[in-house]
Formats: sequence, structure tokens, C-alpha cells
Amino acid sequence: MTLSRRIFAPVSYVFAILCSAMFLYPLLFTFQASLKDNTEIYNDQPFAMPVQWLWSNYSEAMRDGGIGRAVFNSALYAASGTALALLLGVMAAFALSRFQYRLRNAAYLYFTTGLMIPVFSLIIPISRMIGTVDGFNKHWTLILLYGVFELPFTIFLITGYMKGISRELDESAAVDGCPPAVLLFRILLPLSMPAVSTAGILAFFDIYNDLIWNVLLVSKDSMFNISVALMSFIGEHGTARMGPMFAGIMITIVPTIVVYLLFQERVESGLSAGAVKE
Amino acid sequence: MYGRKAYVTISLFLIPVFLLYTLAFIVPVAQTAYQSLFSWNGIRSVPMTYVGLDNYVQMFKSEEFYRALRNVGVFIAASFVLILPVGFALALIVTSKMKGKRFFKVAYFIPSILPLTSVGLMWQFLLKGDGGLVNTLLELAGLGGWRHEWLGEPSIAIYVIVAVNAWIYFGLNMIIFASGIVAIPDDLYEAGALEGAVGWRRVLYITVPLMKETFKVFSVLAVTQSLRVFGQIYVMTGGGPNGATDVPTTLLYNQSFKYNNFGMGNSIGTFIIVAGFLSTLLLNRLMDGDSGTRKRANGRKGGRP
Repeated sequence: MTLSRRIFAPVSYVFAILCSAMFLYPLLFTFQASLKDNTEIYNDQPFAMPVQWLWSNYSEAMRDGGIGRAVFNSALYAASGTALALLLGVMAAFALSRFQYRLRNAAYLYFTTGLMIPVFSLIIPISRMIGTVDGFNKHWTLILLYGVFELPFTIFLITGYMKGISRELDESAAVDGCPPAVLLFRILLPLSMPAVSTAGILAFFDIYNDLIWNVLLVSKDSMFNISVALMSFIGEHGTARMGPMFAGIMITIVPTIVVYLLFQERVESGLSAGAVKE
Repeated sequence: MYGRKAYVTISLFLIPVFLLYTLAFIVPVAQTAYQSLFSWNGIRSVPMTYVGLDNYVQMFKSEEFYRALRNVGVFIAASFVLILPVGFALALIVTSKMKGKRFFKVAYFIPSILPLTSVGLMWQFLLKGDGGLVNTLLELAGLGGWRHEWLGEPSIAIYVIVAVNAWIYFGLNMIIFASGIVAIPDDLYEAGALEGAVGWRRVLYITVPLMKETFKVFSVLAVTQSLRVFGQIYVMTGGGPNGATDVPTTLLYNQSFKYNNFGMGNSIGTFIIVAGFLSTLLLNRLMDGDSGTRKRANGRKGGRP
């Protein structure tokens, strides 16, 4: 027993540390490279710190690549889309969890079917649909689409949670003459916060990271999100100057790392709940 | 409760959601299926022409389609031979009593939260044949012979993408496994320790058997998520070199928005939807059936004195 433990423990530590390096080193290298010029990036001393810290790479990514604006856009789409998804999701979950009526289960099934539909398979009809309402390069189409795409999961998660809240609350609210909307937003919503925040975090990350819809529906640089801004920045400048490219990548990932470090547990449970949804 | 007012509330709360959801999910699914019977070049003023099942014939005859399916197969296989063991090992670390496990958890999870495009582009640079970090490190380790144009060689590109994909999602799967591990009650381990189940034996004879449900969830995910892969490939290779890394989603994108062959795009879209539905339902049925028989078997055993 002691022998096995004596071997087991050090091996685990070595493995754990090697894995940390495997995950963190590429990011560390990206950070170092974001402060270097091409000669330094391409020489054979990848571990060397920059000779001169070229913070100008960052201002260049901001100025020429519009990466700062793109981070703002992504955050704006994500915040608005998430708010829309949560508002609609909470309303639907209320109707699906607190009342008894004939079509209830059918409606729930109808909405959660969306969990099985990969949105990538819908890019043709949806971009046509957006074309017919002249919705290209419009904030409202993007936000509406982003929000609605998050609905199946939001409804699934919040309905499940609300079902677990005692019905007696509703009865006493009704007796006291409390209107349904007040019951929902003042009483049930605060009680459902664990599910709402999990759904919200997942929606926020999903929308912040979007690629395909911004590619298809936006052609104006001022509306690019991080994915499209980064790709077009790299497309324009190629690899002639790598420093600003790495700086651009850093600018887009730092906000997500900050959000993660602030809300570790929530983010972990949110993203893994999202993965398990199908 | 609320009497007739309840119906007003239900309709008021449900109808806007119903309309938006139907417009964004159900109508496009129907359109994809219906329009897969037409040929169209994407120009709005040009009418679609009915071609029956031609798009499907074309799809099932094309080599690209089978290559895309094989690439999805590579993703699924990698889920089991790469993500499963490593993700499980990471989960054991972060649920153990090791010092610094909090740090390890954050370190392993970080790639899963990063924007996919940023990570994809980062790896594209790190994997460059000329001056990329991976080749430089190989050079420094005296393994210069292993240098490759990692994303540019058709024979290896898909495996490289699959490896990057695993790097991204190890952490997410670690959390899924970890939640299965912490659900196992401590007294089982204590009882096991008395029988000599410590170290790797403890993992093999107690943890793994008790995590059957988690492994089932993982298996369903491995298949359904592999069918949805898009961003990683779009960003790193765009499906190239020469279609070597195409999957159905990138094939759909390229066929329609690059080659204006929207009919074919729609038939691929229909295929993805049907494949997604069938695999989810089938896998869930398979897994449920499995645990159903086990429950029955357990019930019989329990019935005996």
C-alpha cells in the first residue's frame, strides 16, 4: 500500500504539472509573441522574453484591426442576446412549469426539439430569410437571432428548475391578488437564479464566440465581432507582421479569462451543462 | 389557479416565444428539406428549379462527402481514444486531495472558455511550417526530422485539427467526468480501502464502474458534437488542403457560399439534421435500454433472499 502510494503520488504530480504546461504554455507564448517583432518571433529562442516590449503591437491591432471595437461589439451582441434569451426563456418557462393545461407537454417537447437541431445546417434558409427582410448589417437581426438560438437550452434549463419550486407560492400569490407577471418577476425569478445564471453564462459565451452568423450577415467592418475582425485583420496583413496578430488574439481572449476567473464555478457548471444539453 | 386569467397569461407569455422559435428553427428545417429538391445559384432574382433527388444523388456520389464523413469519424474516434482517457485523468487530479488542485483545474479548463476563432488562429500560427512554435520546439529538442507543415499536408492535417480540438475540450470533459466522480459516496472508497483498493486499483474497481452513467452521457456527446464541428476547421484550414479536412458542415458552407451550389448545400444540411436526430435518439435508446435491463437484473437479484 505505501509502496504503491509512494510511486503514485509523484507520478500524479509530474503528470498534473506537464498537463498544466501543455494548456498554458501556448497562451504564454502568444503573450510573449504579442510583444515581439517578426525577427524575434521567428528566431530559435521561443522562451526568450521580448528584447523590447512592443506594446505598440496592441495599439496597432486596435487601430488597424479594429479589435477593440470588435470586443465591444461581441460583448454588446452577447449582452443583448443573452438578455433577450433570458427574458423570453423565463416567460416561456413560467408558462411551461407553473400551469396545467392540455398542450403543455407538447409545447415543451416542441421547444426542446431545438436542442437536437445543429444551427449550422440552417445557414442557407436563414440567410435567405434575413435577405428578404433586408436584415443584413443590422444590429437587431443579429441580436434577435443570437437570442432566439439560445432559447431551447434556456427554456430547458429554467423550466426544469422552476418545476422544482413549491406550488404553494403561486397559490398564496393568487389568493393575495398578486398578478401572474408580478409572481414571476418578483417571486419566482429570484428563486430561479441558479438556473438563470447558468443559462445566461452559457448564452453569453456562445454569442461572444460566434463565428458563422457574423460571417454571413455582416459585411460592414464597424459591426464585425471578434471572430470576423481577427480573421479579416489576418487576411489583410497576412503573416508579414506577426506581433500585432498575436496582440489581437490576446485582446480577444483576455476578457473571457477575466470573466472566468471572476465566476469560476458558474462558468464551469454553465459550460458543462451546455455540453450535456443534447 | 388564477382561473381564466391563467390562459391569458399562458398565451401572452408563450406566443411570442413560439413565433420566434418557429421562425428560427422549425421553418428553416422545413425549408432546408424542401429546397434540397431544387437547384439554385443563390441569386434572389433567379428562380429555383425542381430537380427531384438529383442533389442527393450528386451528394452520395461525391468523394468529398465520404471524406467529410470519414473526418467526422476521426473526430468521434479521437473522443474515445484521446479525450476520454486524458479528460478522465484530469478529472481524477482535480477531484483528488493533491496540493494545487484548484490551480490545475483552472489551468486545464481555460482553453474551453477561449473564443474558438482566437484559439484556432493561435494554433494556426503555432503550427506553421516555417517558424511555427511546434517546429521550433521540435528543432530544439533535436527532433528536426519530425518537422511538418502541420496544417498543410493532406495526409496529417485532419489529425492535427483533431488534436487541437482535443486540446480545447479536454477541460470541458474533465468537468463532466469530475461531476461524475464527486457523486460517488466517500464510504464506498473507505470500504474499498479495507479490501486493498487503493491507488490505481481504487480507480479501476470503484470509480470507473460507478461512473457508467457519465460515460454514457459522454458517448452521446462524442457523436452529436462531432457532427457539429465547424469553427475549428473553418478557421484553421477552411476545409483544405484540397478538401482533406472537410466535414459536412464546412462542405455545406463551401458548396453554397463559395460555389453557389445551394441545392447541394441544402441536401447536405438535410443530411446533418437527420443524422443528428437519428444519432441522438438511437444512442439515447441504446443507453436507456442498457440501464433498463441492468435495473431489471438488479431487481431480480434483490428479490432473492
